[in-house]
Amino acid sequence: MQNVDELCIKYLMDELDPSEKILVEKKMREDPNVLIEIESLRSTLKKLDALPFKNPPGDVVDRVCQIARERKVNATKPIPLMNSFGSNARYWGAAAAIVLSFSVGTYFLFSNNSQPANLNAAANTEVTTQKSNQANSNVQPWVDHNNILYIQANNTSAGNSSLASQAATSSTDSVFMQSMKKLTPLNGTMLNAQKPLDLHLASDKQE
Amino acid sequence: MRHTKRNTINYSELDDRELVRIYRKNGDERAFSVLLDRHKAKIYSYIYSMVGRADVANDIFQETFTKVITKLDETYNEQGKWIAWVMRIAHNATIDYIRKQKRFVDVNSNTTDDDYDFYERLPDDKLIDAETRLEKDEAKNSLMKHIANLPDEQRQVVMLRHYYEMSFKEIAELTNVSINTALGRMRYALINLRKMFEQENGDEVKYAKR
Repeated sequence: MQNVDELCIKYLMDELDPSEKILVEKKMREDPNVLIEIESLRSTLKKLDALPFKNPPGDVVDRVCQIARERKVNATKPIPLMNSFGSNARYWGAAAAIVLSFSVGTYFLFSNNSQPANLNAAANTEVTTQKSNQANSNVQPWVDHNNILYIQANNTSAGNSSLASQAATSSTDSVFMQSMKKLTPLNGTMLNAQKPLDLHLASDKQE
Repeated sequence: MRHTKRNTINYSELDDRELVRIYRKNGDERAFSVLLDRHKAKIYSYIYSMVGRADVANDIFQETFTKVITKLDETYNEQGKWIAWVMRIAHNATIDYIRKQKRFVDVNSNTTDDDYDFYERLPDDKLIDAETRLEKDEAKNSLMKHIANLPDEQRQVVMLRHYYEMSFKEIAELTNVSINTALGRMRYALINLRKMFEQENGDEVKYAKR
């Protein structure tokens, strides 16, 4: 609840809502002191109406007009594109920096995460990995002495290097490595054979 | 936009927003001149009533409109009233001056607010005119003297209300106080003025009895 003084000045300044206005008018009827206070302030306020308006001196106005004219000269010059870009330039710059840092961060994040996944895939799925290694070369399927099917372009070099690395990791001996080098590719018809396949060593072919 | 038959703009019939747009777009000095003529008295009167010195009021008035012209493209938002924006600039410039002056007075000056008078420190060429005005309207003179003796915060509210016709909500926003505080300052200003007038009348009665 507001006090009477606040209500009086608000009433005088017409800052009350209709219900508060009715309340003040009721108080004015009931309490002559409130009425006297409001009328006294109103009388003082009315004196303020006599406050004069004063114009600035002519020379001051002329100087201001001169400044306005000078701006006109500037305004007629072509505005550089960057000016129209204006104060937004810093915001564009900040936005570009955020996007750039986000992109770089995302790239590194995914490149680091994807590497071990590829290694695992190479270790676990030999055929798939070898397929991806020879995407642009002639595919020539072949099998080793364990009847494992390989599909790769250069049957001896690429296949052997892959197998060699596998062999190295599984600690196989050099004899095995040598024998692997002697493997020769088989033609397509051999792939369809149901019986166990023979090893064909390049240097020890028997007719 | 209103035009005459010869397709020349009748500036005086345009509202502030249209005039500002023309000045902004084309640098049309006449549009600005009409704006200035329309509002210069209320802006200058407010500044003058607050600082009480013509030379300072002149400087602040010029500073205000220099800012208005230079900041028009950067700061002024066409959605808002142009004159309200100008009033805000004038008010801030005036308050800046008063604050600086207070700091200076606190340390160096022997003068007090009692020395303040609207016309007392007018330049010499204006003095005769001011004295004539004093003689012609003593009531007005005493009113201005009394207002000059009000504390700055109270005088500010009275002047913003009188010259800028601001609502108390606008005054509160401009002066960074609550509406109730602004209203309270207005009330105290009126009470103080009433006392001053009563004291003046009492003195007059005393002199008359002698």
